[in-house]
Amino acid sequence: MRRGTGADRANRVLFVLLGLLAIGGGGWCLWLSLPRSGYADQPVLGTRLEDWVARHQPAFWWSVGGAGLAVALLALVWLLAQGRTGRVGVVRVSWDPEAGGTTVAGSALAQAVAGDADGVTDVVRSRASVRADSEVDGGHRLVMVLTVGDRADFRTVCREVEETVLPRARQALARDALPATVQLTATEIKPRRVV
Amino acid sequence: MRVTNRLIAVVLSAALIVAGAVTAVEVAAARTANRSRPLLVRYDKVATVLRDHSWQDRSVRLVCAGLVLAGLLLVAAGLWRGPRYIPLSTEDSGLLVVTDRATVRRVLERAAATAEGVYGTRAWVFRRRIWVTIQVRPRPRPAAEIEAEVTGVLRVAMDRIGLVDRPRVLLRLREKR
Repeated sequence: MRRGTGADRANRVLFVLLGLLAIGGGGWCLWLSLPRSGYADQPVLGTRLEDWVARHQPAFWWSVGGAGLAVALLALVWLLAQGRTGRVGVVRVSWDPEAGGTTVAGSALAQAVAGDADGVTDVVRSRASVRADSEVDGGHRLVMVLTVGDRADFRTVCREVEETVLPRARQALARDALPATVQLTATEIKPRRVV
Repeated sequence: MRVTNRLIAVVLSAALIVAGAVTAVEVAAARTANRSRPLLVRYDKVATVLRDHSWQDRSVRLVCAGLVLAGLLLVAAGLWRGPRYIPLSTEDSGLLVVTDRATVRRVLERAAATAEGVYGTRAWVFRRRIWVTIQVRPRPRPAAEIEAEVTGVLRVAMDRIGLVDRPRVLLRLREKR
């Protein structure tokens, strides 16, 4: 099962890289603060550093400015990627070059599927979404998250999804195959007190 | 966790955008317009603070330690894989049904707790083995009888879940004196 979208994987990689950078930078500064390093009593911004910067004035500052700009642009790309959820906005049902095409909103299909899944035995809560998946036929995958009671028969839930929910979704899209992923989670159901 | 990661990413990327843009603007303003005073941020004051503090100062050490801690938390957030999913058996080749270990644990604990004489259950789910520990009162039912019943109940619960690769379920009893 694929874990999240490309943005989620990019987040994890960037967290590790930035985290290692912070650990390295912080660790190096902590080392400098120890008497053993020989720099412990030196100012954080020392004259040696300022002299070096003064000697390389134009090149140093333009490099710093360029690096700042590059960081800002890359961070902007990273920020914009957070808006991508992998959900499909529009699903094409049929296409005829002469007559035109029929589409359905991904959220509408997801809502209808979630409504069908709510009717499955032992399901107490359901969520559905249509996601882009380039590895499957049709390029779409139906993802359902079903919450069932902790005494539920999972096999019955699976069978009902196979026999009622999925065929209806496939029929709605006029497709023989619509790959789907169902995530089953159990929750404790407290018995209702009848007075 | 995915939502938390997205929130962290938004905060981090926004901070990097601001820091990078301010740096670029300040450098461009200072170099091209020959400004002697800062444009957006009083970096001259920051430089004075840095000149006044040495590496061994407590505040500097605290900032460095905070940076290391933030780095460790970021690495942990990056390496955290989230819940492990376990596939369930289905007839439809286009359907993938999964559940997580916490769900399997909850179902088994709940099932074991239904047996008479059991007053506490705890389960640990691993890839190949599931350990279920039950705490029993040996009176009025003998412990062996309770164990046999719980074994059967767990077998039925595992059948209900329908895992593709069924791990071995190992039962441990703890008797209350």
